[in-house]
Amino acid sequence: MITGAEAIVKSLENEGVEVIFGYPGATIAPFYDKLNNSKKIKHVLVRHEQHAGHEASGYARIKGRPGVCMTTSGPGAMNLITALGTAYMDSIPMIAITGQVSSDLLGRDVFQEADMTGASEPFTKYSYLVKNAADLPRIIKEAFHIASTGRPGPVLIDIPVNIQNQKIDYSYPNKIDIKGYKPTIKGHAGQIKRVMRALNNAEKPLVCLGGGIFAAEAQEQAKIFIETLNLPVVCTMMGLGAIPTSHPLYMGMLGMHGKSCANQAISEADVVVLIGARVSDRAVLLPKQVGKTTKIIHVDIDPAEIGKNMDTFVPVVGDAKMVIEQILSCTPKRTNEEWVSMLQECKNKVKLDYDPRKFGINPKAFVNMLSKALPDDHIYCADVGQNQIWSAANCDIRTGRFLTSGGMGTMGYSIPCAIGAKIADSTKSVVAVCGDGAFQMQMMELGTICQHDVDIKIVVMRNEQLGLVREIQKKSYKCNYTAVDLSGSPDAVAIASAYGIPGRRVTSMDDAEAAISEMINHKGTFLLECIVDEDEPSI
Amino acid sequence: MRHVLSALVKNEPGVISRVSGLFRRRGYNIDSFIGSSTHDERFSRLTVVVRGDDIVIAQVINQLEKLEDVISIDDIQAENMVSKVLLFMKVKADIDNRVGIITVANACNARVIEMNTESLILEALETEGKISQMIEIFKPYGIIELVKTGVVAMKR
Repeated sequence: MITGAEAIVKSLENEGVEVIFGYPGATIAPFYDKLNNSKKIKHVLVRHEQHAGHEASGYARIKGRPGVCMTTSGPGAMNLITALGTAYMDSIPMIAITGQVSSDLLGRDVFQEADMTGASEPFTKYSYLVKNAADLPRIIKEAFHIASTGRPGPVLIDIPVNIQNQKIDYSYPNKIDIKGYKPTIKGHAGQIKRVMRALNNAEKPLVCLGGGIFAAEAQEQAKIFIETLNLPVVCTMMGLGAIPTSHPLYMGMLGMHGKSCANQAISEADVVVLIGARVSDRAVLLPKQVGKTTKIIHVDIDPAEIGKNMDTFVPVVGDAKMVIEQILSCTPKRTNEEWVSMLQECKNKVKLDYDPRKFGINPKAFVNMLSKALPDDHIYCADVGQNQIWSAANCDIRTGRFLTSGGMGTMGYSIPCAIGAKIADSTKSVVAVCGDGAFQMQMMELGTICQHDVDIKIVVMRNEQLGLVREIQKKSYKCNYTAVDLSGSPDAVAIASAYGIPGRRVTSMDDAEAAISEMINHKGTFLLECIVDEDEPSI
Repeated sequence: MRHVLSALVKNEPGVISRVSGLFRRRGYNIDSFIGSSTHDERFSRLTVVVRGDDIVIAQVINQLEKLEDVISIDDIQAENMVSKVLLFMKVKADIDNRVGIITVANACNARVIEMNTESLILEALETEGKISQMIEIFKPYGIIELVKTGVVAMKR
C-alpha cells in the first residue's frame, strides 16, 4: 500500500516526467513530501504560479511532450488560469496538477478553496476532480494521453489533500480506453483524391502553415511538400518557422501585422491549402470572404476548426504529417513558375526599414541582427505588444523555433517560456524578447533563473510606454494617450544586476552589434536593455 | 432523503449553466434535472431531484435562492405533489414474443408507438417508481435503447 501522493509521483515517473514547474502550499504538501524521494523528477520552483504554467508551456513546445505544472489550491491554482488559457489557445500539451481542500469540505467555502474544475473549464481540454485515490493512476494516464493526442491542450487534475493521504494498492495501467475519444490521424482517402484534383487544377496555389505543423512535428514533410510541388508558402504567427524564413518559396507571415506580399498571395491564390491553422481574425481580417472567392483545402486534426472561420472546399481531418505524406504519395503536379516568380518579385520589392534612428535603436533591425547572430537552431521567444510584431516580421528563423503567445496574446510569456524551453533542451540558445511593460509582469522569474542556473538571453525593448496600446490610441483615438505611460519603470539592467545577472544598456545602433555579441558570448543569463523611441511604429 | 425542488428561473441563456454549476461546485448530488420554458416566456421551470439530509437540502435551497436568476423555489413534499416521468424504450420483439411483450406493456400502462419486424418502441408516462419497475420487467426481453426524462412535478 502506498499513499495517493506517492501514487502521483510514481505515475508521473511512469509517464517519463523529468521536470515539474511548481509552487507548493498546504493542500499539495503531501505530494511535495513524497516528491523529495524521486530521483527522476526535478522540481523548478517558480516565483509566481502563472509562470509555472508558462514554463511548462515553453517546455512542452520544445520537448514535444506535455509540460507539468503544479500549484496549491485556491489562489495558487487560480494564478494558473492565465497560463492554462494561453496554452489552450495555442494547443500546447500540458498537465496542471492542483491541490484542493479535503474532499469532505468541498463546496463549503473553506480556506483556500476554489472551484478549479469549474474555473478552468473553458480553458482546458479536459479536467478531473479526484474523489478516490485508487483512480489516480488511471486519471494520470488518461490525462497525459488526452493532453498529447489529437489537438493537444492542457488537462487539469484537481486533487484534494485527503486523497493524497489515502492508501491504495498501486498499479499503473498500460492500456487506455476512453469511450468516444479517438482522434482521426489518417486523412480520408477520398478527400486526399479531391485535394489532388484541386491542386492539379490550380493555377495559383498557396500553402498556409500554422502551429499544427509543430504539434505534428511535420516541419520536414512540409518542406518536402512545398519544394516538390514548387508551392509558395505563407505562415500564421503560430506557424512562423515551420519553413525557414529565408526560404525562396516563403512569402512571409500572414495577417494584420504580416507581410504585404503574404496577404497579396492569399487574396490572389485560387487554391489555398491550410495546414494546422485556424486562421483567426488576426491572420485574415475577413476569412469568410476569402473562402468565397478561393478554394480552401483545410487540413486539421480538429474537425471543429474546419469551416469555423472559413468556408471550406475540401476538408481533411487528420494529422498534418500523415496527411502531407498521403498527398505527396499521390505525386501531384508542380506549380507553374510564373505565379511563383510573380510572388517572389513582390516579396523582393519590399525594402525593410533598417535605417538607424535619431534616438535609440531600431528594434526591427535589432531583432533581425540578433536572430542572425544566434545559432541556426536558436529558440526565439517573443512577448506580446509591439515587440511581438517587430520580432515576427523581422527575425530570421532557420532551423530553430519562434515561440510566442499567438492566440491569447498573454503579456509576460516570453521569459518563463524561454526558461521552460531551455530546460527542455539545454543544447539550444534561447532568447526572450519583451517590452518594458511585459518585463515587469515577469521579472520575478529572474529569481527562478538564478536558483536553477538557467542560461537564457533576455532583451528588453524600453520605450517607457505600453507601445502597442499607445499606437492604437494614436491611430484610432486621436492621440488621446491614456494610461500608457510607463514612467517609473525600473532600470532593467540594475534589476538584473540585483539578481547577479549581468546586462548592458544599448542606446544606439552603433553599439548593437557589440552588445549582441557580448550577450551571446557570455556564459549564463544576460540582459540587454534597448532604448526605443516611443513613436516607433509596429510595422 | 430525496427532494423534488421546483424552481422558477429567468428564461435567459446561461441560467441552466449557472444552476447546474452551483450543484457541481458545492458537491450536491442530482438524481435528475429537467427544465423548459413556461406559459410566460420570461420564465422557465426547473425541476431538480436532489439527494441529501435536511441540512444539505436547506443549503441547496439557500444557495439557489442567492442566484440572481432564480425567482422562487419550492421544496415539494412527496405526499403533496403530482409527478411523472416519460419513458421511451426500444425492445427486441420478433414474431415469437411480440404478443407477449405487448401484453406485458399493456399491464404496465405502456403504449406501443413504433413497431417493425425486429423491435418495438414503448412509451410510458408514469411515476418514477413504476418506470424503474417497468425497466426491470423488460430487461429479460432485451432492451436495445432507452431514454427517459427526469421527474416533472407540481404541487397539488
